[in-house]
Amino acid sequence: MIPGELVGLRAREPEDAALFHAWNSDPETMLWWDRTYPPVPVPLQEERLRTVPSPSFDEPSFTITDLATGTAIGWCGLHHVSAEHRHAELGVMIGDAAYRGRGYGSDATRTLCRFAFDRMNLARVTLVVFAANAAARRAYEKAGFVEEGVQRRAAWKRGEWLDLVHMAVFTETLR
Amino acid sequence: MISGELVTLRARRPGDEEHAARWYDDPETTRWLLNDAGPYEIPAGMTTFADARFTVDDTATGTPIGTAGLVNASPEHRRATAFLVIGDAAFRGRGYGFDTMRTLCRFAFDSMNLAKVELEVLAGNDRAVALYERVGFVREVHRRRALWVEGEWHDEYLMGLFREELR
Repeated sequence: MIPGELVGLRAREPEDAALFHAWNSDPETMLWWDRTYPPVPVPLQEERLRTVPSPSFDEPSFTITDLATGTAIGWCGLHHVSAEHRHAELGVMIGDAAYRGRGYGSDATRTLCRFAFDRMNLARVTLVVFAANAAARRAYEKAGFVEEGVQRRAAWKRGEWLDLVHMAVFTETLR
Repeated sequence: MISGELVTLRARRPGDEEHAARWYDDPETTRWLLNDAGPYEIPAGMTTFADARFTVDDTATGTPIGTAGLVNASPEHRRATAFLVIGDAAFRGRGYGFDTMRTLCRFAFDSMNLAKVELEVLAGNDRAVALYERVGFVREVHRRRALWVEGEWHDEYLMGLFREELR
């Protein structure tokens, strides 16, 4: 388990499947996720979690837990990890609505970045966020992420074109 | 087969590998090459929405001079990532790359009904950046120290072009 201040990051387990499914089906949780279709059924998700390797350089994916109680509250991970370019793209989901707006997402973001820099020896962590998601952009900025540009009308969501903001943080600028 | 003014974009076919091997053996080509462009493979079937990669011929002589294509096409978001390699050095700096990219974008908009074409390019690749800007591409994202190439960090641009911006 990788501890932050409020959260812990642990390996995803087959038992998490029902929770993941519930989060990925919840319109409020998915409001700012680029996911067009409903999630796979729970048994299939369970099977997938049973067969994925434990977190590794290629697939550092975690379940986020409340450090105080051990309750699973979300999911986070790094994608497109490049060994040569030493960068990766970050994704964080706080699925349990009771834990939103209270610093758990920021702590998970920071903890995962620390892991990327201090343990995986990456140099750069990036993320993509909907331009209209002001709260998330502010939170990422507070963590030290810097906006590198706007991908214009790049996503079709809820019947309209949305801009995507690209952000990045380096080990020396992570707060 | 798609015709521009100087070039023809056609399906890749057996026999192209020899040309590709030469192109991809040239440091002047490979130093700028990003993942979108390679590896050079001859597809088993037809060119499709999901896999639109072409060999570029000099129309006048029929000589294969490079490769271009559209990858990661998303039907929901109606955009794809373009790549361009003018592998034959004799055809560089003479408008063949420009004509290829314009023709490829025409195909993306007129045939694939995409709304946007995007591409990634090393910031130091001035010639390519200028070419893409002449086509109408706009720099949207400036990724700092994003790629490690030949012993140093390089910045990278994500560029985008909407149908109405194509020149």
